[in-house]
Amino acid sequence: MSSRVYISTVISFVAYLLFQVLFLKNFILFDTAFCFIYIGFILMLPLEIGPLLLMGIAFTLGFTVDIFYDSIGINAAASVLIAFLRPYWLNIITPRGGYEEIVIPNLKTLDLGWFFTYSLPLVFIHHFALFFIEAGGFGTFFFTLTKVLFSSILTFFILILSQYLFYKKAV
Amino acid sequence: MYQLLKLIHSYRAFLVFLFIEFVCFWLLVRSNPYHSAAYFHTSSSIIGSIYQTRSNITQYFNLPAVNEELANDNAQLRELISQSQVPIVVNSAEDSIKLSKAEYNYGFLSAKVINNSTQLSHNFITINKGKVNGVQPGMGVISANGVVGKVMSVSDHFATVSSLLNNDVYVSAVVKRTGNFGSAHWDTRDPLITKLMFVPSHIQLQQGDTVMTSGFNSIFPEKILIGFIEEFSLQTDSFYDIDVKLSNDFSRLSYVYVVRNPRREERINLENEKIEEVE
Repeated sequence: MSSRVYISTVISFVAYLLFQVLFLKNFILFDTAFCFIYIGFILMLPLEIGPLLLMGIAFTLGFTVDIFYDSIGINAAASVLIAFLRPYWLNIITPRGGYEEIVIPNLKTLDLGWFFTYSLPLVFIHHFALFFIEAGGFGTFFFTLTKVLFSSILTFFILILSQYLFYKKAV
Repeated sequence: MYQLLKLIHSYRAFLVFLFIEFVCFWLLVRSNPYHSAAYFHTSSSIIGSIYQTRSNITQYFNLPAVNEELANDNAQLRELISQSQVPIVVNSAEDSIKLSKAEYNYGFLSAKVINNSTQLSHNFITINKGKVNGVQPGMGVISANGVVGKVMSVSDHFATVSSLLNNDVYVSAVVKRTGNFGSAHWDTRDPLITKLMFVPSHIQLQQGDTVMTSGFNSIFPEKILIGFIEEFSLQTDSFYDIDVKLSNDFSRLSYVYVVRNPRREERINLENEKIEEVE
């Protein structure tokens, strides 16, 4: 990994974290839609990162978010889950031409349709794990499922929006 | 042996995944809602000061509402002072009861809410008072409008409070009009409504009945408001299913009071003595 990628990764780790815990913690729409934008960091880590390091980073990020949310273990568990699934999912949805010239999977390097299939299921799985662990089981199934669905849509929407804001499409 | 190592190596990602998830769930289960250390909570000094800074910036946006609430609180307190000027001369047994009750004073410590959540199933509040100010885990927290929660963990200058909107918190409650006891417990759905459990079905309840703390445990003083009965139905034969509209709007908490029970240490010392004797 080049040092430029390395530095920008560290900076975006801090940026995602602070944005999550300082602004989005109290940003909840209609009492059901939460936004966990920090998983965008895990989704957009460079492709060459190995699965072990990926899970290590995801655990660190999730655990730090947990401390701010007073929910030790919950965000960490959900983040590690999608970090584990990410390499397999990337393999399944390999775009035409493969990932040869792609360092980071985002909207700058790949088209919207691909990004949609890449991130939406992972966002959904993350939120599903997160809310059901948080609720402590399937006791309030449909209530929690509503939270999962609306939160996934909101997180995904903000994820796309932030990409248009911060990554200029290379011409 | 080599085959086995090769097998483990090829599944190393999955094994590490299982291990980390195991650690996460262990952390989750181990973190007892009370008496846990402050390092991994919002009361830790670093996280606390970050939230303090944020609160210093955002507090200006709701100043009018806060001012109004504090003014109301002041008015209520003045009223209480004027009411509490009871005769000191002991004329009857009833007066002496009044006096002995007055001795049993709870202390109140004002604190500012610097972090709050209401929409998860386990909600917590961070306040800007800690060990240095005498806050200890297990103390009750109230506001001018009623019960807020219980202190879970403290650092030197901050404390994390399990809010009443937390699935693990039960508060001993009493229906004021009938005098029946129950337990207030939040069912994680609506941050404005809590459930009152274990009220037997032969009681005649009315909509709008006041629900208050019972004073059965040493955490809250007696007769602190919890809310008003909004709806009730008979779900099983023996107990009511009661919705209580909370008197506190948890999403707008600004200033709260930590309740210090002067007899708390006495009780804890007594319990410790017992344990030592057993040992």
